[in-house]
Amino acid sequence: MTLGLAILSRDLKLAFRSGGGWFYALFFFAVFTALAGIAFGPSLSALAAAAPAAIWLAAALAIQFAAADLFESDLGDGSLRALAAEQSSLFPYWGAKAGLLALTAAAPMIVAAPFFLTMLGVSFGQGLGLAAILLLGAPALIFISVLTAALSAGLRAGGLLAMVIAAPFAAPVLVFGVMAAKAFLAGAGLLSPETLILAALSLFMAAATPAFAIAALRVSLE
Amino acid sequence: MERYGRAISLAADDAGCDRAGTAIVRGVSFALAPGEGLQLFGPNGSGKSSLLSMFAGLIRPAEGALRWRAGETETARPPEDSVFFLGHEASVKPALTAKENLGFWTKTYGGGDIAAALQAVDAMAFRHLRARSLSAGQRRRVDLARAVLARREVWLLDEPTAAIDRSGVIIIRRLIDDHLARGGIAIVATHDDLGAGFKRLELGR
Repeated sequence: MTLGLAILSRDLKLAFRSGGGWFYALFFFAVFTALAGIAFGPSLSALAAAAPAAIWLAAALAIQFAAADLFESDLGDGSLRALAAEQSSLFPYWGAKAGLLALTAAAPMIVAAPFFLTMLGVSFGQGLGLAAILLLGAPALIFISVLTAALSAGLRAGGLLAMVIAAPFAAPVLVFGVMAAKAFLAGAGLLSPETLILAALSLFMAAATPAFAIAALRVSLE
Repeated sequence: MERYGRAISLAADDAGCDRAGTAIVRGVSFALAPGEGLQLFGPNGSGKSSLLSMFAGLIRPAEGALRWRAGETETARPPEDSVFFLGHEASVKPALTAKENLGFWTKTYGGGDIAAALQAVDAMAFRHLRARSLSAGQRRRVDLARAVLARREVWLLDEPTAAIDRSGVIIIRRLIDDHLARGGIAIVATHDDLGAGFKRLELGR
C-alpha cells in the first residue's frame, strides 16, 4: 500500500510537471465530442441519439491514448527493473499505474462530461447521469489499457499494437456502456440491468487483468 | 560499524542464462559468503547484465541453479527485501530534483536518511536541482545514493563507475567496502579493478 502510494504520488508529480500530462485525455475528449457534434449535424434530436455512443468512444480512446506510454519512462531509465528486483511484488506498481490513469485520464473526463454533453443536445441533469454511468464503466477501460500497455511495453509503435489488442476487450464495455446510457436517457434510471452489467465488467477486469499485466511487465524485463 | 541483520550467502552451480532464446552464459559456478564480493569481467555483450538480472530473480536460470541462503532457509530466488539493484541506466526522473528522486526511493525502501545518503555520494551541492539539468555523472551519483538508503544485504551493481569521475570511483569503492564490512555480499559488473578482496568471474563472448 505505501509502495503503491509512493509510486502514484511520484507519477502524479511527474504528470503535473512535464507539460501537463494530466490534461491530454481531457483535451482529446473535448475535441472528440466537439467534432462529433459537428459531424452528426445540427439536428438536436439526432445529436442526443448519438451522444451516448460519442462519449463512450471518446472515453475509450482517450484512456487508451493516455496509457500509450504508461511504462516507457520506467522501462527506459531502469526504474522498473530496479523495482522488480528489489520489491517482492509488482502488484503495488500495477495499482499505482491504474490509479494514475484513473486520476489523470478518467476523472477529469467524467467531471467534464456533463458540460460537453450539452454540446450534443443532452441536458445538464441528464449529463450528470451519463457521467455516473461513465464512472461505473471507466475502471474496466482503465484495467484494459494498463494490460495492453504492459503487453506492448518496450516495443516500437507499442501504442498502436496496444490499441489492436485492446479492441476486443473494450468492445463489451462499449456495448453495455452505450446501452446503459441509452436506457438512462429513455428513463430507465441509473440501476438498469445494462448499468449493472457494466459495473460487473469493471469488477471482472479488476480481477482478471492484474496478474496478466504484471506477468507481461516481467517478460519485458527479461 | 553496524552489521546487517541477516547473513545472506549465494552459491551458483553451473548456472547459465539465455537471452532471446540464445545461450549467452554457461557454466557459472561460485560461492559467496557474507562479506564477500564478486566482480564480473568480460567484453561488451558477454552477458554481465543478463547475469545480474538472473541473480536478481528477473531471469530464470536456463540451466544449473542458484542457491540463496539466509540463516537456515535456502531458496532459488533472493530473500525478500534483500536486494539493492543498480542498473546501467540512472533510475532518476529528469523532472524531479535529486532530493525528490531519493525521497521516492526512500519510500520504496520503507525509510532511510536522505541527507546522509546525499552526503555519502557527495551530492549535497546539487540536491535541489532538477535531474534534467544534472550531468550524466551527477545523475549516476544520485542513483548510487539509493545504496545508502536501501540498507540491503545483496548489492547487484551494473557498471557503477560508468560516467563517474575519479573522486566518484573512490566513493563507490568505499561504499562497497563498508557494505562488505557490514556482512553484505556484492556482485559488481565493472571494467575497473576493485582490489584484491574480490573474487573474479571472467565471461567470454
